Amino acid sequence: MTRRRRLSPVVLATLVAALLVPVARGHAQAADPAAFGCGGVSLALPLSTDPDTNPDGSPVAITRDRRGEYVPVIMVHGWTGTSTHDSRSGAFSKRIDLSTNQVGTIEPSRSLIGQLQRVPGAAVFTFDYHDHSASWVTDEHLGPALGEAIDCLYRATGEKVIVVAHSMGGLVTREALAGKGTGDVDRVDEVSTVITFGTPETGSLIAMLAANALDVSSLVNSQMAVLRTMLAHCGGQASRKLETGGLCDLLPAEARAADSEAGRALRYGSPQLATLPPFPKKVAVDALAGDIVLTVPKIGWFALPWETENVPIGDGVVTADSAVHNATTSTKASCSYQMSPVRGAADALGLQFRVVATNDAARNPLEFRAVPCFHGNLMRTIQLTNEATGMVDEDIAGRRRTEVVTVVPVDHAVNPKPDYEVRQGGGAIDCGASRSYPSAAAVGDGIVSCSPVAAAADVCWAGPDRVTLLCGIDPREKVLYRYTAQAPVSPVVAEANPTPWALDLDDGSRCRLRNGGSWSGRSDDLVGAYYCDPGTAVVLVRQEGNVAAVDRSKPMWTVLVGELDDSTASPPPVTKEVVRAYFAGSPS
Amino acid sequence: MAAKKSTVITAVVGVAIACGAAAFFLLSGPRPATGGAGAPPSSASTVDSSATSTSPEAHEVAEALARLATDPDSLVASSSRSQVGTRAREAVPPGTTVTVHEKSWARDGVGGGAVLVDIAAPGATPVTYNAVVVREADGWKVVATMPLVDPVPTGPTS
Repeated sequence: MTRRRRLSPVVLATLVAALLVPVARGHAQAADPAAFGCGGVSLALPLSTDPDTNPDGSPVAITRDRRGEYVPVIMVHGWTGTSTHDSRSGAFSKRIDLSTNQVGTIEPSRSLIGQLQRVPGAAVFTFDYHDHSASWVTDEHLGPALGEAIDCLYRATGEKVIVVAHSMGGLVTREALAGKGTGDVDRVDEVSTVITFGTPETGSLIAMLAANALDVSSLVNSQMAVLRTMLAHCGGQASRKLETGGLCDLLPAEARAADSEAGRALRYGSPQLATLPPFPKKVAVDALAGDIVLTVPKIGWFALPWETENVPIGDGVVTADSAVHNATTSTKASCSYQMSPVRGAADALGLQFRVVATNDAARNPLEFRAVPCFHGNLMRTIQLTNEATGMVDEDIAGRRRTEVVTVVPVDHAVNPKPDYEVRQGGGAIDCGASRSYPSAAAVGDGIVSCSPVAAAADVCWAGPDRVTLLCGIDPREKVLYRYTAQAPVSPVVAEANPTPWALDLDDGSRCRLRNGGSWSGRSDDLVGAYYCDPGTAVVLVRQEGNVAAVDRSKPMWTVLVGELDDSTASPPPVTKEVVRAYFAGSPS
Repeated sequence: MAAKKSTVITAVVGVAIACGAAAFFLLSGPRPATGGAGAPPSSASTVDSSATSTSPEAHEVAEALARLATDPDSLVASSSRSQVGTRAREAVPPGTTVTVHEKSWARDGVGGGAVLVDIAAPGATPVTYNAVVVREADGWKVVATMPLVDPVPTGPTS
């Protein structure tokens, strides 16, 4: 019964969509990403001095992906930062040299931008609004400007844009995605993934300090007390090392920024945050957050201790809850310390930190050591940068899809198309005495499967006289074989779930659907489904269950490939990607 | 009579020694917390601004916190009110001696700061606190406190 079902609408839609893919990607990209010509963003070229390097020591380089395309990745900095990648000072340009795990060491060889540039296809651009970073995201230089850059890069490449944002840069992106876009494409459809580092989705902890809030929860009160203590300690230091990434290098600047237009907007419950649209559901948001927990013994109000001594401060600027709010996926870098006030020199307040968890790295987070979980250091933290790189790689790799080719070698009268050669096949073939069966590879009606196996006549188009057949062996070849049916072929309709006639695999193998014959076996439950050339490996399919040989669950189809060795311990199969799949079609 | 006179003289000398010792500790900067102080006859407060000159703001903070001895409830920050409630007097009991180390004042840059305060409650071991304070509309208030600990010895965890 099922053999005669018509193609289901879903299958048809899938096939049509797959056929349309090459057309949709037919956009011709410029030879060099620098020639995309989009204002507001700058192509991040690999650093020429002090370069980011690959594991073998060679400088990183920008390359096309396996489709031969570039995918724009826009880096958007936060409050007080910069994105520009011309030195090590940019927010995304510092080397990845921090870890939440003190076991083992890091060889800092590249920055986040350098790491992303190693991803095939990633063309990294920077969006820098430093001169306007005290403004709120609705400022024309922020959200709207980023939106225009997204529009331009999408038009220039035909590829959805990936955005990597730090802190308020994520809110700038939210504002940008609320824009309309250009032409008939909504801006939300121009972006595939947003990766945020410490974005204050619901507000910033440190922004609350400047508000001197009168009515806050006990948790927020404790958080603010801890932050004020740290700020007071930093301010009381007569001299300290600069640019170390220690909290005293970074925290005061963040606190000062909190008293700007942007800072006021970033307070919990601000009207500006309330009216900022959330990320659209169509865009995948991967939120990366710092999660610092400080144990402060006997914190309280003199002889009255608070209920808890553990004070989570997120990354010191944004709480972890705020950073991962409404995200599709999230990753937190966790650091735990015990913060203890001591009497410092000249009777001043001093702070000491002890490592609480054994896997935390920084030991003097205020002064001389960078804290991996701190707001300004998130892009230096290997656990988070690896996650971001993986997301970008997955996004770009996921754009590769199997090309589906439907071969129609005949016209409506079943005459061969002009570029086909017709050769004489063998004797009469059996296409069913009382009823015929459709070819397993047919996506159109009237294509039958005949025997014997030796004739390789499992993909045949029946002529008007119902006995003359043109059969194909290899869909890649412009050759048909003429056969005569022993009995008139009856009309057939395609199967609901056709199987590809042939497959081109990512290793260059060319495989063809098995059309009978006696094949060797394996020690597992896999049997041969396609024979391949060159080599002796075949595409395998499980005998048990109704499992197809080709896994079409993802845009890039895959198959299992292995040897038919008749052994008692067959080597396990390997998974190969199907670059191209061929089906047999009818004239439309 | 002679015995009674001797007792009075002894008491006066004792008080003088105690006051001298207290003054020494207040003026001598860093010191370990010591215990065993007896209950003073009434609440007292001291502002330690010796040794170095301090800013007007530091003096203002110290003056405000000196009220801890007499009216601690007036020093509860609005953000801490739900946690402290009406128990400010429990936190700083009557008879407590309060010493504010004015020169320890450090601004946080966002409307507040931290200052060290010695609290010697009757019958309790004196404790030095890091007091986190903010300026509210009606003056400086205490958000939270953290007792000072002995410095961590220099080593792999410091």
